Amino acid sequence: MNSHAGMAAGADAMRTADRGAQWRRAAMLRRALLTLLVLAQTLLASYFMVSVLPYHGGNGVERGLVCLFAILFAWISVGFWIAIFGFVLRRRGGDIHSLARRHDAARMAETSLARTAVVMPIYHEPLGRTFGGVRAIYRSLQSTGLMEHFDFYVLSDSRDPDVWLAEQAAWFRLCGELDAGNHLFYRRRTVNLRYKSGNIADFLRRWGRNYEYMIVLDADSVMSGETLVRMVRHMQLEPQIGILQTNPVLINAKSAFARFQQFANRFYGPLFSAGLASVQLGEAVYWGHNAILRVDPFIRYCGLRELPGIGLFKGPIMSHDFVEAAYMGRAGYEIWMEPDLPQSYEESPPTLVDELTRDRRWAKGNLQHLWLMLFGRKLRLAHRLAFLNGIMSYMASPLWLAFLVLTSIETTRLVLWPIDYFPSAHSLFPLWPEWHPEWAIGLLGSTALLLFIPKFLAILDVALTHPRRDYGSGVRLTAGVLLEILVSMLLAPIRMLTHSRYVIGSVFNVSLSWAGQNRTDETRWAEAILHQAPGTLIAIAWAGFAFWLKPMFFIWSLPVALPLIFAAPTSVFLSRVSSGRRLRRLGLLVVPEELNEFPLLDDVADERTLSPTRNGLSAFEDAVIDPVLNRVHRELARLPRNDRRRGRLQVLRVRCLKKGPAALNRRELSLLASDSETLEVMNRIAWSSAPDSYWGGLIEQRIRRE
Amino acid sequence: MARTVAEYALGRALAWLSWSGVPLDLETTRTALRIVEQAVVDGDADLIRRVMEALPQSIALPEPVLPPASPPINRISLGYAPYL
Repeated sequence: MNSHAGMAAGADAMRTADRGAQWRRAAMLRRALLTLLVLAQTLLASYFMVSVLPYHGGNGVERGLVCLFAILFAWISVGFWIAIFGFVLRRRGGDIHSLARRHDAARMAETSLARTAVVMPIYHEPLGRTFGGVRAIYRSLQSTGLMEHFDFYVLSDSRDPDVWLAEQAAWFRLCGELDAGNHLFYRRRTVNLRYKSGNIADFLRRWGRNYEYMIVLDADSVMSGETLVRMVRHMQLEPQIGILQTNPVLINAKSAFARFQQFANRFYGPLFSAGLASVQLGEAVYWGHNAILRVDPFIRYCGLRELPGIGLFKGPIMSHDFVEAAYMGRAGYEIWMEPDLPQSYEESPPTLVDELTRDRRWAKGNLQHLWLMLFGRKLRLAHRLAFLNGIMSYMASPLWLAFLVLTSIETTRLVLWPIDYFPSAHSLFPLWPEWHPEWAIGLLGSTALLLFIPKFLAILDVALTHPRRDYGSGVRLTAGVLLEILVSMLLAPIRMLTHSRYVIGSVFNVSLSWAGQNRTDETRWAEAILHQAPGTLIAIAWAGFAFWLKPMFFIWSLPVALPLIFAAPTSVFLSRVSSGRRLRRLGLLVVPEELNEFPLLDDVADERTLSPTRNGLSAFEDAVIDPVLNRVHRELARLPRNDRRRGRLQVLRVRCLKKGPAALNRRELSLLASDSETLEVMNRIAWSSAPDSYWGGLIEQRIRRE
Repeated sequence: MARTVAEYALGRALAWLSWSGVPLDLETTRTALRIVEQAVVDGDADLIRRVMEALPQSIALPEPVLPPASPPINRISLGYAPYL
């Protein structure tokens, strides 16, 4: 028996080694092909760019333009070829090296599970949606009959007592509703070090030892129980894998902005993710959520030290996920992104303002990776390139801005300055500047094609793979793509200018506050105008200058200037839920999850029992008044500590009992609500107080409402 | 007509019992009434406080089932590799 087991283990190890060699060979070939295609295309386009320029690259400004063009074109070209790779692989029935193909259904079904923690770090999130998501995942997992292998942890970094008290109350209610007393846990850090990665690290230090795997979710993540089980089985069968990342699909879009993002993600996403996975294979990246991690190596190798450099490159790492993937790779483990793992979802920011606010953190976080890309010890080349990819996601914007600035300088020189017949000091022959608008239009057109061809390939892919009714009708699908292209063109200059501002701010190391993502509110006019005013003013000035300089240049400036001039109305219109509903009613930008039955997602939408203030009171007031919740919060609070602290609490308590919570600031309320003795005393005194006092009045108000 | 303190006290007592998970059957209501009656007999001063203090001594409250917020801590340290 033992020798059989030994032989089986030996055979498994050989198979793993074989597969490792195979995917590495395939990855090398594919990356070489990608590099060749991108380089060839960029060289050709740059050659045409030199021909288009009046002095054919004969002065510093033109050489700068050619350099910037080459970098930006190569960046677009990478995206184009990734989509082509994805399209080809999908047409051929999938990637033969993909993880999903390694084991058949029978082998997967007979694979045992191991202890797995499902962790959800949160920070000031919408309560109903967050706990609604936990409930949906939990129920879905229960339906697999394999719940005993999983524990859920909601890991809160929330600071506002009204938020974290509501979280605690929702956790308690959910435990009761799901009968999840020993599988659903809640932990709030009182010291919020190192953002989300610090929160996860805190969990691992306390309970990491209890688990083989950890599935990390975002506050808006939803995953089906079947997918969670499948991920654990993949990890069990492939011990060399450190991280397995799913490709989350956007759902639950309500505003027009979120609907456009959701449609683009759902419709173009499969092409790009298949292409990306095909070149990354076992050296993929981790996106920070909707992924499973092997806990032991993660604990041993993925601790994140503070960066030791200067300015931006000093202090805690803000975007932790790429770095953790790189460290896992350095430790010898594989990281896979598997697009064929279904039912993995997340949400889009509801508005442009929210997306750009989030990008501010991400821009700084990604730029920090430059240090690791250059100096990180023994990191794999693929992960250094992943850092570069993240950096370029934001650096592309200032480069594009610089390109526009140089274009303006070049045009100004041509119009206002005398012609320079000898741009090169060592030339014997004069050079006549030439301007061929038709060549420029051709070059611009071919660049635009690189951006738009993948979108039309996605239509073809859907036409050949899906029933078209998954996206409405063929006509509505095409109309949706055209509309999405239009909106992308409107948003691109706004993102370009804002990202440029963020990059410059990051380089000068402007400090950031780490705020939770807004997932509900619309953008108000005043907010939009304030947010977009700098870009609008710059665009008006630039377009005005272009018109004064040369009407033709003015026309060339319009595709960038007009979206910036109308940025505020665009932002307001796209943020509106009513606009989103109108699009939905017209059958535009619909996705399969909206047209077909998805019980998992219906479960997320049911937020009834989790609402934070069912009786019109704040969570703090509820914590004081409600006898059961008061007990719950006391259990989760600390015991009173030293006399000095008791004295301080006594003063705050008296003030709060006399004048109500409005007389205290957030920090003081947090102190009171964190102390079990205070909660108990306040509950007792509130219930004994006269009806015309603050707390007595509140109790009478609640009695009347019920 | 303005409510008397005794009315407030009775309303408060019944609400507190109900929100604490005590079913408001006839027996419980009678006990609450008796407590309020006794408090009225003893005088108007601090009537609500006296009623609220007497309640838990006369009526057994169900212990809420509180789920554990977390399992016992099982500490481990993270590994931090040098950058350079």
